[in-house]
Amino acid sequence: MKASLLRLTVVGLLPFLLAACGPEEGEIRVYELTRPGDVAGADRPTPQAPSPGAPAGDRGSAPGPMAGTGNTPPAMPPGGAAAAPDRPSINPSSQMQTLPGMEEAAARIERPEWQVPGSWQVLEPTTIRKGNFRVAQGDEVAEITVTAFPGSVGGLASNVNRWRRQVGLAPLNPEQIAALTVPVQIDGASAELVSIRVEEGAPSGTQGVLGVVIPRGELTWFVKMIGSSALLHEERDNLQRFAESFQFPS
Amino acid sequence: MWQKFLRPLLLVFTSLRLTVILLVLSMALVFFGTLDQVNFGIHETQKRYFQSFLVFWNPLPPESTNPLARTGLPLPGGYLLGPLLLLNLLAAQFYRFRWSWQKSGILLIHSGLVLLIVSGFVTGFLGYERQMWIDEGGTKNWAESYMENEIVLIDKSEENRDRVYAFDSDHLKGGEIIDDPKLPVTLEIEEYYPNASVRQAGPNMRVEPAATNGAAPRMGLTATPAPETFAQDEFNADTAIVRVYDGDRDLGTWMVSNLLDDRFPPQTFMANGRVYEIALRFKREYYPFSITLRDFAHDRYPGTDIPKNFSSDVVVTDPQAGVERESLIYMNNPLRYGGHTFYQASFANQDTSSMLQVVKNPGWTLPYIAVTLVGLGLVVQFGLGFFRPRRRKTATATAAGNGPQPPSPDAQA
Repeated sequence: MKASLLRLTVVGLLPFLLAACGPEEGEIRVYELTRPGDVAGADRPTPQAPSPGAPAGDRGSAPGPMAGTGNTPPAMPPGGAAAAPDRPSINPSSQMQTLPGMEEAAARIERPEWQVPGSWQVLEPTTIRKGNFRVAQGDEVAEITVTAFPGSVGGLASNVNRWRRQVGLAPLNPEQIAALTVPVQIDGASAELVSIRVEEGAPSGTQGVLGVVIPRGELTWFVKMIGSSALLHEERDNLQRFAESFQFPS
Repeated sequence: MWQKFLRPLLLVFTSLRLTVILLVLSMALVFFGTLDQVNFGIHETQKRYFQSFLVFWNPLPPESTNPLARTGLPLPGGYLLGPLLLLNLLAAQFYRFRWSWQKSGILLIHSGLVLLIVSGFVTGFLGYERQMWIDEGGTKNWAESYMENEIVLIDKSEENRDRVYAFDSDHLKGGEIIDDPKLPVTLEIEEYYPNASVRQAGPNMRVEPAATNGAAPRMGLTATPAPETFAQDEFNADTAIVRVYDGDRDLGTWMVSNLLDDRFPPQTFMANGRVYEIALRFKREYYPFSITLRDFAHDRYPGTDIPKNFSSDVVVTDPQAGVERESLIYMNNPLRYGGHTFYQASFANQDTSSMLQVVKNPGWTLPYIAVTLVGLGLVVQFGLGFFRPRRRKTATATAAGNGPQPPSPDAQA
């Protein structure tokens, strides 16, 4: 009898021990990824990628077996395709998706008057890109865009770091970022001119960003030139003159 | 003395009556679970009915405001019935049955049943499903859940390396503070919505953005709670408002949501002199191997749009194991690698992207072994029963020279 009870106890505990083997909730997982090997940036197909605007239940599209989700047309990236249909944009921001209503809100923003340097090719603006230009010298190319968004858009540091990531550079802290910026006056207000890897005689293929961040009322304006580092160095004065020519509507 | 109390308990757990009751309750659980699939979909029903200890069935739909919707018929869940059935079976096996060759078939059948129940637990606790989207020509070394979410902090300060801090977010509550020595900062979950409506405030709306930093103020986003959806072709927009503290310094709040995925600019902050990205995303799992999609094929019957076959031509690359294997994944022909099974599941982008369903189930062989054991046990037991009366008849005929004998009760499984 005692042996039976012992066996019963051992046997009885087994299922509960098994049941206790579940994963812990609230556990912090820490791991490292090598960035080039992390192919996390592989594109997510649009039909599965939700866009904000409504409760997901209204239009979320979680895939099911052979759901045939391939027929949903992808959302058009703002600007890039319209700006240069025969040529992919070199600006990573051209792939940025927009929220519902964002393009309409951007369309209501009036652009300032400006004077475009003669060497720049004027491209068709879009609702997001108030100004859209291109400059080329041999094989070296750069794109210039003028955009405006409500609020501080995350602040200077976060935008500079975003641009740095776009040209493959690690983010910096605010003190280091301050060293990259030069104060400029645009239409009577303070703005910041930012240089990221703008180098004279830089090897071909080296990419950099020249940007002017202009806080103006409830908006922040961005004048961004992205492309060949060497060309950016040559176009620096043109970009600064272009930004300084801005006359915002009163 | 302890035997006085344990003996009745022993008798209860070894009784056939308990077996019958548990089996009836199991059938009821399956029946009511099937009914509730209409309201909760297959995954939520599985969680509520079979991965729980207690469940309340209610005929009213979940969105009903009727006070009666909060109660219901109580039923023992799978996590209660399973261990009890296992206990009952093992207790009866060890306490009531006596080993003999005549009962070897029953032993095999019971072993198979025990293994079947155990395999259910192994799958329930250790198995999971993920999905992996790959574009043609693209390579992936991770897959993501389509139901579970996680909040991640990614240290982007290093040139070529990201350090990721991740924790599950599905059970978070508003007001919860995440202060863990493993995390570089302290997080306060100000709001957590299992599903939310994330909208951009219109030009004439005087609405404060949902957070002070990141995408919310930049894009004028607001988040309001929305009812959870359980439909199979929909998902919940898990959204949280998170306040970040760098030591005692309040860095402000960020709105994170699985809606703001890789297509949107990352939301970053600076703490301890390092740059971190913060996000709420579908839970990811990274693998030591990668899969490259060479080609996705969507074959149709000639002259029609009726699908004939979907297949993904992939290459598995595992540098550590020195493996580079080609494989064609199509219906009922999955790829098995690294303890994972990759099924062809969906496609998109005009047939240029393929979705592989990634299933990890360490116990996937157990049901096969269990069913084989049960089958073998039935063959053995009926085989023994088939031969036993004939032997007795022969022995009796030899001894008495007349009449057949009744079959042994041992012959009945």
